[in-house]
Amino acid sequence: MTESLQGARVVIGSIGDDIHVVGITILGHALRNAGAEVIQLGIQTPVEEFVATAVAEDADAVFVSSSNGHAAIFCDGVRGLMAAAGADDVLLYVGGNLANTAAADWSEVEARFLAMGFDRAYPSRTQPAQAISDLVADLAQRRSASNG
Amino acid sequence: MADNVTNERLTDDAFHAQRETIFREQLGRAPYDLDEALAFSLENAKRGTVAAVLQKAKATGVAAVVPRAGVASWEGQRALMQMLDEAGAAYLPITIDSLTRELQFAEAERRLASSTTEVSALNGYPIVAHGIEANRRLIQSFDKPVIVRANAVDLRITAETGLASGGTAFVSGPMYATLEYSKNTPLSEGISKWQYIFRLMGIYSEAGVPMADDAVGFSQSGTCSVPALMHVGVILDALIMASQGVKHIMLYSMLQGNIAQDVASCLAVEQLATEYLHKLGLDDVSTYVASSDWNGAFPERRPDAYGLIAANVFAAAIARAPLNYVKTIDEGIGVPTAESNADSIRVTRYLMNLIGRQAHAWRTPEIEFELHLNLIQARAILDAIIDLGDGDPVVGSIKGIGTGILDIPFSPNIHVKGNVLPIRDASGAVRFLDHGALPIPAEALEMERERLSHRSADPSALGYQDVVDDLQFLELDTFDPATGTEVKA
Repeated sequence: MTESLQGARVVIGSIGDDIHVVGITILGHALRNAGAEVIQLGIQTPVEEFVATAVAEDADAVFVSSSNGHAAIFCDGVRGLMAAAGADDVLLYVGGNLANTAAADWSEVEARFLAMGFDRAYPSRTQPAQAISDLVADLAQRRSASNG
Repeated sequence: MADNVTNERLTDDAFHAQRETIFREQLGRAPYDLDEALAFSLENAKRGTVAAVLQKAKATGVAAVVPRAGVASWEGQRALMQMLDEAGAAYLPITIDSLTRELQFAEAERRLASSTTEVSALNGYPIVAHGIEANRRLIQSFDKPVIVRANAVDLRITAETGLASGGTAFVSGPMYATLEYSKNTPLSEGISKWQYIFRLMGIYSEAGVPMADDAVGFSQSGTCSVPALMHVGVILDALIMASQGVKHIMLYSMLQGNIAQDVASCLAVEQLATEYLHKLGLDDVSTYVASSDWNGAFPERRPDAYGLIAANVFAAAIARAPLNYVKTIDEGIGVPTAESNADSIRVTRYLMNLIGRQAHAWRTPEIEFELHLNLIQARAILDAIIDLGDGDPVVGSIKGIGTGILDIPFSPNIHVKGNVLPIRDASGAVRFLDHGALPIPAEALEMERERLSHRSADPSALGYQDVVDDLQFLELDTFDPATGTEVKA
């Protein structure tokens, strides 16, 4: 089965002071290959730029990446700013290296990011196919909810 | 101004004018007392310097093994450095957090306040927030010398603080910091800011404190890359450093898992540095090959991570590299714990000693093949860049970014053409899938094509998906049929 994100608009970038480029590059290509329209913001993207771009581009989802240990510093305000910009219905995914120590327990880290308002949070070794299949499911659920 | 940057040494007037400006603009204060800092540093350097450690390692053949490590609190950093000291680190790292690196000094100070000895809210040590007095107490509490580790476009205040605090080595240069670490900065601006730091190191050196610097070049991109291209960045960084008065330079050679290519990479980078420093009349500079463990996606499982580190160390030991920057067995999971850092140093020291004794037995024809290939590729690119600048590597580099004769894969920087793609051959050595406008000689292209034909009968059929797969070549256990990914032959 080939999953399709045809028509979906996804904003992607590394947040705050993070310069990791490889993950977002690969994920951007994978999303594009799956049919999505990808708006690639690149590295060191301020929270405000994610929000402004999501609004301007009428995004369905925003993929936030943080791999330098500062995810907790920069990700906390994303959902609130999205809501303030009237874009509370945009799906928010976050991934990378979300903990700032290798000793952290993933279920606790995940809970912390879900509590910040992210719809999904991924541990460091997630393959693009996982996020794509989750996005297909989340968008389908939104459509059926709004139709029903 | 950044528009007409050249490789000329900064004049004293230009240096001090810039110094006044950055301290006022970034910290809202007058510059540190440079005479006081030099006097302190000279006294402190009597206890040892990074340059002296490296000179000894090169002379004795016993490699220096050095980790990277930083946490927010003073006590936490002290405990971390103590553990690394006891594990046998040759000199000790203070890695700076990325808020400080991005000049967010007030925010770094706020996050320091919310950190404890156990829990760090920052990914490094906020050296400006701690202040020189506290930093000096930290550095002087150890017998071993300290390297201040950071990477960003504008580290002038961080370097001023680190050197005034007693650090005797610093990291990076404009090639890496601008082209691998910044989205919008033009190369001319990155070079200009780094020339200030190198001149500062030159001033310390001239006062009797031999400062050392890591020439990282394009050797820490987070992906595999053709070693000769990584070296081009290293050599350009080294030439710019040396021209401002840096006398001790560590030449990065990132290890990528193919032993013959990795050994050749370590040998080539030193040979290239010697050739091109001489070409620019910079013969009074000491260089040290800094073999650097794989910086891309790392295996999550610890036995696999140990295996990768062992393969890296094997190559570094055969090349008799005097220095190894270790990655840790936690690299595939996240920011490493102190314990995993210490374990990784131990295994590296053990193997460096064991294999280093046998180095002569492993200098194979395959290494000679890779060395020759590396040298003709690197020389062709470097000569083209220096020619483009009429003998000035800075002018040539800035022009070369525009024409694409200086180009790298996976750059986050918008000014880079980004037409170059690396790919691994059947034995894991890294070749060009696409060399863009890099002036690679026909002989080298033919050598690469022959090697790639062992991976695919039709090398032109190799494509972007193969490049993407290769990014996880060392991360995933491709040798285990149970994981589902087969080794391509």
